[in-house]
Amino acid sequence: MKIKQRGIAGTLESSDILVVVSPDDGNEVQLMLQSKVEKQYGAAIRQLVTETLEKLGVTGVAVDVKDQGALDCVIRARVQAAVFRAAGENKVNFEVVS
Amino acid sequence: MLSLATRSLFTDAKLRVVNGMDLKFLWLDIERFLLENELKIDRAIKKFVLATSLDDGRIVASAGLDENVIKCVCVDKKYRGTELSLKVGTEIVKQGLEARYDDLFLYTKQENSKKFRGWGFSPLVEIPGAVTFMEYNRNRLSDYLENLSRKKKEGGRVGSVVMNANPFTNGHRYLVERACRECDWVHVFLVKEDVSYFSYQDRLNLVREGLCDIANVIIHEGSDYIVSHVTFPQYFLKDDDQVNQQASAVDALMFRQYIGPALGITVRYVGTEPLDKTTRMYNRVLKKYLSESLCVQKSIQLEEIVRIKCDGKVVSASRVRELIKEHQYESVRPLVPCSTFAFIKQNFMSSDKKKDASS
Repeated sequence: MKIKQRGIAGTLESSDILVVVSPDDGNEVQLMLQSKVEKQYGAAIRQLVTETLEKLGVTGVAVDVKDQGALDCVIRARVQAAVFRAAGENKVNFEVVS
Repeated sequence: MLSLATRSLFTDAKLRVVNGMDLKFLWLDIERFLLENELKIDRAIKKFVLATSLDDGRIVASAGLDENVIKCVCVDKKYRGTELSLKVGTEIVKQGLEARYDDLFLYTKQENSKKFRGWGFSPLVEIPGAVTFMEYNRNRLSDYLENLSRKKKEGGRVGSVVMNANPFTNGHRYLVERACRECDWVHVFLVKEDVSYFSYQDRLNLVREGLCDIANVIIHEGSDYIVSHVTFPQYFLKDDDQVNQQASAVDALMFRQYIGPALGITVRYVGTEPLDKTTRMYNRVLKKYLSESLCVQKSIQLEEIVRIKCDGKVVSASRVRELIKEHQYESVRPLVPCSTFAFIKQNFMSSDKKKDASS
């Protein structure tokens, strides 16, 4: 999926997560995570975000994530929504998403 | 008007984003709301996120956006401790990031800095008992410093000069020459802000041309972190009411804690300021925060160099601008290097001639 613009999803409220996906030079994924539960779940959140991006076939992005203690399903959904917005994609292929 | 009718479980308030004419209509209401909470409205704000009560339409929370700086954040006493602050925070962060800014900044009283950590902001500098300066995107500063440190040069005495150079004059040249004589290397930073008489690119070119014959000088492009509307808003306003020592202290501490150490800078050179009040105040604050032992980073010495004079008046960029406005180009000649004069001749004198010819 091609990232054309900045896409934002989520909120800063408790148990939610704010994901900002921006186009970036190169083919890497630059992940920046800030979490209330960084010590306990930092590695798990990073892995989940990276996996979700891989599934969507996204490269060349900077992803800024502010986690307020979101559950895995919330994290996945917010990352997906941010990517779709960043790609300007209206039709969501739910088979890839699920 | 964009209305985000998010009715929440705990607070009966509605969020809305106002700018343009709508903001003009609501300006007095916002001002009154902030005054009730002992805050002053900032007239540089172009966009507000407001929460209004669903019962009586009163403003119960606000956050303003001036380019990439968040200001005038306030929540009514009754609503503190609810999730309203986070709703307003989310919206203002989104508004800022959607406007293509890569990073957002804010100033807050030290005791409130914890709340803004909840908004995802990290503190950059703290002035004990006064102000905390915070940034949203933690990566930005470290990326910038990493880039800077690639240009680091080893030396016992490493100097630095920060200038707006609007335009580059013999005064700037004198200051840098003096620094270059006394130091192994001199880092010159140009102020990035494009609100000056000469554009950023023109200023940068003139600095480069004016210093091209000096071997031990390194010219850096400007950034948000050195004398910008972010770290030092009042430098560009030049308004006595707005002169706020705390903000210039933030600028000084940013230099001492981050930029100085990245390049191993030991001295900063400034010209003495007989004319401009803001710059004079800035020099005083610089001296205090760069060299007094307030923080763990090594102190940076401040060298104040007496400005050179021409016909009994100090050489300054503001005088050059005045002379250009009065079309007295020949009086500009002794004040600036050949390269700057050639630029002025090409861009101002020729357009005058065209005007004369057409009239």
